[in-house]
Amino acid sequence: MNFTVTASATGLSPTSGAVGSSATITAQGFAASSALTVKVGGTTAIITSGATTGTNGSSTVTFTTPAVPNGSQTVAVTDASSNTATSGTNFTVTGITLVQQVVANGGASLSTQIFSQPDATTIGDTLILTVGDDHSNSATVSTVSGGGVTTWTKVTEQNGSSGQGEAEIWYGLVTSGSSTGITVTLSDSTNWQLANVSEWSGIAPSSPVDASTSSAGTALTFTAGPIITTQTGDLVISDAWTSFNSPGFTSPQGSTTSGYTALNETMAGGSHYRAWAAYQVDTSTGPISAGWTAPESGFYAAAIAAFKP
Amino acid sequence: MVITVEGQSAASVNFTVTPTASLSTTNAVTGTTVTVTGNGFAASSVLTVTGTSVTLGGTTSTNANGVITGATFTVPNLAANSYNVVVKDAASNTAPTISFTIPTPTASISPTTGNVGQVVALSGSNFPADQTISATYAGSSVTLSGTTTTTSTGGIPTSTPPTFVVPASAGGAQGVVVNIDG
Repeated sequence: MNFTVTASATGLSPTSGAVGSSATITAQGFAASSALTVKVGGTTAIITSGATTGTNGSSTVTFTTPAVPNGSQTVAVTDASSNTATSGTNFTVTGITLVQQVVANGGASLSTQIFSQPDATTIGDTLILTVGDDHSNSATVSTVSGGGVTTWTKVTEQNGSSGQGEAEIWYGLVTSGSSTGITVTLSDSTNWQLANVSEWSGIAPSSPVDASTSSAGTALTFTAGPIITTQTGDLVISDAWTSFNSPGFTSPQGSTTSGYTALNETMAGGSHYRAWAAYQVDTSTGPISAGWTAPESGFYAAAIAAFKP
Repeated sequence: MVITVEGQSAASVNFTVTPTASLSTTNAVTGTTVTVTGNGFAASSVLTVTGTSVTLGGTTSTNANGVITGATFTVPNLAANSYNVVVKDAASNTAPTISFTIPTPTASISPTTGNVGQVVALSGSNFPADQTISATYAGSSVTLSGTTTTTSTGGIPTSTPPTFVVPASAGGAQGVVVNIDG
């Protein structure tokens, strides 16, 4: 008499991790000496060991989590004879996730800006401030406080040499919860300071900045970056501040090259002044930039930074 | 026998008694004890069984009336088949041949499909009685848990049956063989 062995995939460990992290699963009951493939959420993963079953149809397979969305993903193992088994336990892809965001429009001759997140911030999350202001003076952000962050740190700053505008990116780790108010203090009064504060989960709590740069000029299209990321799963965030002569633009808004998701836009001064921010979770390493297109040519300042998961 | 009628004697007439024998069962597995009964044999005569090689035990001679009172034999370790049992006494008084059957063993497993690591239970019947059960999977021995001895009627116990865990093996059909030792 015969016992018919069917393929199984068990013992997934760990059961969660970021894109690029390694996990192991035990494949049994597959064809003997057969090449295996592993798919996470339907996307083929690179197998780093155990890619072929032994004569007993078994293999301990170690794979690298492919670029798939955050959340619960199936893990399926298939051999060269199309025998397939799906793990009873899903793999939870962890990564950097946007929690909430808020924007603030500065007025004329402003030196302090206070705005609140819609919800209390969460301990362990990271707040990122993207801010830009008028090209008419050399004011920069001097301090940022609030949001439950103990230490706000400036990542990059570009103050246009010929007064083209200014763009900065700051971040801080939330160390105490339930605080929502955030205060941005400037070195001097300025006009049309436009800011976005976003809260993120999944950013490394210490030394999170992977790379950053910024630039300024006068153009219709311009590029923030490139920067060189060293780790997969980085949050790449770029902001652009612009001014132009024709007021009243409501469309088109600033746009970025593909791959980015826009954060909320801010505008002021009869929409002469606009600030945009956009982000993506970078599933590879190496150079990355954000190309921006303004409604019309004008002064700009742009910044880009990558935060490690 | 002499019958006397009114003082006259008729010629004597013989009444011939023929021996008969029967078995407590005619279908039993190896190791089963079978009781032989019968009568019409010579008085106090040593019995033998021919046709199939078995060893008589118990009371192996007839009594004063030619009756078998307590002879037994154990079903020998022979292949499943039909065998002849012939009971006779020392004077070759022979009972009619009895047909005796050793039944064919059967075995099955449950479930018959599953993953590596699946616990598989054995079941079966018509094995030699009171013997140790073993099994191979894909040609290699597997460790059995549960009751690993056949019952007195040669069955694989259905209460706490023997089980094994499917070892790492390639997908597809793998042979399972149940062996009875001894």
